[in-house]
Amino acid sequence: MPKPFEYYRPGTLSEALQLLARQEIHALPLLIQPKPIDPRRQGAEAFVDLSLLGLDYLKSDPDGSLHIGALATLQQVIDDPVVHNCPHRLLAQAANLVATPGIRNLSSLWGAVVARSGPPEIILALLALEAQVVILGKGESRRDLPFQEFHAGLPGSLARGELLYEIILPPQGECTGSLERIARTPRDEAILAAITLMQVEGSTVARVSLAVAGAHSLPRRLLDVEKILTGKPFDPALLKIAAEKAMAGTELVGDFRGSGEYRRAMAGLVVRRALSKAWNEAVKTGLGVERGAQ
Amino acid sequence: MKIHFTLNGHNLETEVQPGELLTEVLRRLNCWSVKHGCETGECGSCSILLDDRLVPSCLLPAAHADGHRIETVEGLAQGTELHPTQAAFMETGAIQCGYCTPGMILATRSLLDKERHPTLEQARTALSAVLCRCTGYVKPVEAVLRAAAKLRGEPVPPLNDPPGEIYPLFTTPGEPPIPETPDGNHGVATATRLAQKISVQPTPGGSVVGVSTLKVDALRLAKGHPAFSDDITLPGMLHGALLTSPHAHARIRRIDASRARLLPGVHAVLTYMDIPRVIFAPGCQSYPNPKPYDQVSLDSKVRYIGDKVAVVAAESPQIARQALDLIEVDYELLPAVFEAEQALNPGAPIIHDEPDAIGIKDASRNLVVTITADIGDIKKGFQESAHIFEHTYQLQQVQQTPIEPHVCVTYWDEDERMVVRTSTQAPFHMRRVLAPILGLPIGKVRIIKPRMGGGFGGKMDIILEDLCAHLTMKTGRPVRFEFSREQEFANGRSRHPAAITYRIGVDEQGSLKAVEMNVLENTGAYGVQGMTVVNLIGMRGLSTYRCPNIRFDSRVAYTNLPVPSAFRGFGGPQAQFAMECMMDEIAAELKLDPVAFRMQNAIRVGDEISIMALLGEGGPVVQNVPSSRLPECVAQAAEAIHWQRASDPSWKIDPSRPNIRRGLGMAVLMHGTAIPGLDMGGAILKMNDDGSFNLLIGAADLGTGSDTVLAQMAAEMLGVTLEKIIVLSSDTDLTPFDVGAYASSTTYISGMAVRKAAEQVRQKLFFRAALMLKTTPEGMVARDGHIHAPVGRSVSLGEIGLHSLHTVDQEQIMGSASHVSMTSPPSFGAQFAEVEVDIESGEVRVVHLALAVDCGTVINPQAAEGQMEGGMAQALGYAISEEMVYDGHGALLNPRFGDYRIFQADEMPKMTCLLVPSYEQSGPFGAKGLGEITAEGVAPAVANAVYHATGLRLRSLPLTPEKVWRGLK
Repeated sequence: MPKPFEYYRPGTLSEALQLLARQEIHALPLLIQPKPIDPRRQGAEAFVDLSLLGLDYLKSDPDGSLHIGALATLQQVIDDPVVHNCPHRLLAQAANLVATPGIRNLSSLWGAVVARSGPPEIILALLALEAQVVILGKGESRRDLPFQEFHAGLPGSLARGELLYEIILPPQGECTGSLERIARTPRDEAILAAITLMQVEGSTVARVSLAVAGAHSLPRRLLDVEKILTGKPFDPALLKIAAEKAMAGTELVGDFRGSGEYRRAMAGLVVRRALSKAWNEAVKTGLGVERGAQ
Repeated sequence: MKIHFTLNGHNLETEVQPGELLTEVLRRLNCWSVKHGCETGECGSCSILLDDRLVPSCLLPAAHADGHRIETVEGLAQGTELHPTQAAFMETGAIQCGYCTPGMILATRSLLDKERHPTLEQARTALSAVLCRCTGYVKPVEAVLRAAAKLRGEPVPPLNDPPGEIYPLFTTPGEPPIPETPDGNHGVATATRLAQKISVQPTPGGSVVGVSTLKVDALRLAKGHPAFSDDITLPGMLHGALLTSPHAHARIRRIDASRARLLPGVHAVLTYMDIPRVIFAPGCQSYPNPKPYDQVSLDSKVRYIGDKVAVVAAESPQIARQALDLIEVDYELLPAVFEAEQALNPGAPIIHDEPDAIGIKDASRNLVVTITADIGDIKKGFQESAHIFEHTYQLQQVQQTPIEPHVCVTYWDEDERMVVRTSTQAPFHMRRVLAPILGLPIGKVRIIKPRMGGGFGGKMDIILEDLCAHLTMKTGRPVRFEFSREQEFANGRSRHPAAITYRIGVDEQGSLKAVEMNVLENTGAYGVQGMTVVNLIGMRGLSTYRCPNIRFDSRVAYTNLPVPSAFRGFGGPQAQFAMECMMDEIAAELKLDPVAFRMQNAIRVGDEISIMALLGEGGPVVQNVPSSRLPECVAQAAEAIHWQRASDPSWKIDPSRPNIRRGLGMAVLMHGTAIPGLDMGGAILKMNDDGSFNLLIGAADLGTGSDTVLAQMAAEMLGVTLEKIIVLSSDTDLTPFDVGAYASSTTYISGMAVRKAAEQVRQKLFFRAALMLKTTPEGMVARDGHIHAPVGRSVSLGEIGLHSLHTVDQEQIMGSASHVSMTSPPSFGAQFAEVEVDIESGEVRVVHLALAVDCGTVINPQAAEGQMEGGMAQALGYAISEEMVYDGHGALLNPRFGDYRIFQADEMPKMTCLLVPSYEQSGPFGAKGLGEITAEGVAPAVANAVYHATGLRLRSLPLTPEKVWRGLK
């Protein structure tokens, strides 16, 4: 049953860290997830509102990397021009899909990445873009972590008293990206989704990252599929092998949106479509050379 | 803690409690426009502008407001001058129940503050922040564009365009085409576009009937005034909370509420031991309530997860919820059963073993009721058939999901009568059914139905009212009781799941010779309305087509699922899906044109609707078809959807998207108007000093616009503008009886009562005018606010008002009448759908829905369109995405918006509405019903379109990607 909770809004990072580190009370940062949870049912005895800490920035570095404050809202991610460059714009596309406009104005990137269920596109984008996270702990000590590691370690990735400070999207060079999903209705939570990033040299896949949701207990990078593709000429045969590999690696997890069997079959489809789309985009923009892949 | 913030331009300081949410505090501060619809932000009814950003306030602790600037709809209007957005919502008919309207208006304001030239897509995106269950979003989108035009200072079109004119779009010239879909949806097109305005046959000489008007309640809803049940605070009001069962089937061995009772702030805890055991059927239906009587307010046994265990009244919602945690319950778990077929098997757990239940057909077999009917000689019919077909169709459980959850407030009035202020569709039935549950005479109970935030059949039962009233009786204090969204899913109502088998014989000429319909209905843990619904499944499923030999056989079974009941269509959607898919299948098998095959067999004007004589709810009444423009409906909707493409195989394939197949499908619709010999409505009309009139009606407007439509009829009769009619509806103390809002009856039944009452008043006006003009009433007419004598003289209604009340031979000019109809003239319609199917993933995207309906004379075209658009949107969810899904223990897996997927604004297809008026002699001004027929055709039309696209015949809903994929595999 819902419980009453206290509320704090610290003005400094150190104050915030102290509040989150309190042992006598279960204090949670005030975060809205894209699929929100009733604040009274989060088990918090206190909420720590971090909105005065200035963690809602988006800025790009000269090297092309993008730094996003952990409390930047999904709508900020959509609206800010710094996210509009390919392939970082995949994150904006993902943010647009995961929640309605009102929720996007409240839900932060931090809220999106700690969600254990719900729309997966933000997590897929960060996995595919090989994001890094910056975590602050006691005494404002900093530790950096690949997002993939952070995600895999949930819910224990942040220790009591730590806060997510920033998400960094590294520069990606010239590459294309794509997002594919399957859902009951156009904007329903995806049954399956895939995001891929592809760097092409001539007719060869020079580098690829591929993340899939809905075919395993959690969204994940398909490193084995990436390995199959990397350095190979992109053609229908390779695509078929990649899709089959994606299917073979699925876990039989299902829910009311789709059974494990369906998800397994569709894993191949979303992977095939995402890769094809990224490849075709590369061909279209002159980054790649057509070899007839579908 | 104390917080400071700016609310609608005013600096405020207020105390907030730990655990309070911003929605609660804003409502406490009389911002009644901030509505509760869910606890997860998805419905958007609680939206506010927080530092100019639209946000759902239910997600924020109240303390978060400290230092911020908040705007609500209350702050939009400048005195009496509406904000252009408010005006646009009123003018376009974008307001139906009005519960989501404040959220939509703020979403619009937020968009237009940034973008004065919004595209259609931007309008759809902005409105996607707010769920609406009434409108289908077409008119709200129009409202956004109209508001933008107003803000730009551009002229906007009048409310009533000439018939057939295309409604202009307020978009920037050169606007790019609408992007087909959000990224990742394979280019499957979905879009809300604006429909061609309908053609309306004007009523001869009519000036108010037959035209679109501002709704009589639009202003209060656009301004967010406290119009709904929950928009009230009473001195000493307590807050109710409900403890529900975590088990699907269990006996309560022990229940101990002593710790809860000791919690400071708790005023009452009630369990089955604390209130009298009164067995009843909670459905608000005509007397005598149909059986079974199988429910008590609180029982020692629970029959589904979510069943009622105990209630608490406390000084705050927080304390009430805390108290629930302190109630100790020891359950003896019992085996449970969830499928109707299994429930009927020998050895299945007996769900109703209580000895005092009344009217269960065979409780030992969980069999609630059986209904059979025979016409002609079914055996002979099949013998004469050249072809016999048999298929079974599975219909899922779906929910009404009104955005306003069930909510009520109860209190003793100054005369110690129980007042129940509640969101109900049938206040008078509720008074009659509720009084004995409380042990009170009917006259000691008053039901007030304020504005309803949608109902769709889900608010036709007593669900909270008895519990709330018991708490008031226990504490002597006002009690407010409201469901959370999760409780609304589990404890609210839903549409009955059913398996429908048709066996149909057809002769060589394609005529139906025998139709056998077998229904197994799952009524969940209680039988409320289960008999009525299965009865109507039979009636709806066996009346559209001519056939001399008919058999209907049905069974209704208890299971341990949450309780289905009435839902818009009342069995019609289940029956129409099965029948219209079946007709499509037969046509395909026999290689007949599906439209021509249907029209060959369709019932026609003058035909007897033979099944109604056997299944009529009000008793056997011979019914025929007095009016029908079905052929025109079919022709017009076919044209709108470009049906000729159906015979072009090349159209079905898009070379640029090899995974997509296109298809077209249709369904023929027929739905009776009101329950003959049973449904009755009353009206009182009385004149005021200034020539205005109070119209007192028992009819319950649940967002359909019936208050407006009934006022239009009164105004038409009296020759006055709509503003002269002041409507008061649905208060059992102040208005005459009406059965309530169901069975597509209000316009037809209550409308005729209004017309009769107005005719009495008109005659009195003529006599009074004759007295004043020193002439005779013969040949007088009521027009333009005057009574005109044939000789050219006239007297104004204001003058008559003063004269009659104060001057000579004083009298209250008034009329009262009631109406019951022995006929139930059916409305007819044709629903067409265009779909795109992804043959690899199984995703079905509906591209276009076209609905043509003959509902007799259209009293208010704009309101009628709204009914059609909203009905189609609900039915679209039934077809594609809506389903209550359970785990193996009977726990609902998707008790929240999003998981339970109703369509949002930015994923709606194009919708075309065509009104094809006939003139129904038995209806007021020629009108028939409209509300339900609109929600019955989309599912079969879409399923038939999927077949047309892919060759896959799916006989169960919803058409999920996996189901389609499996079928195509």
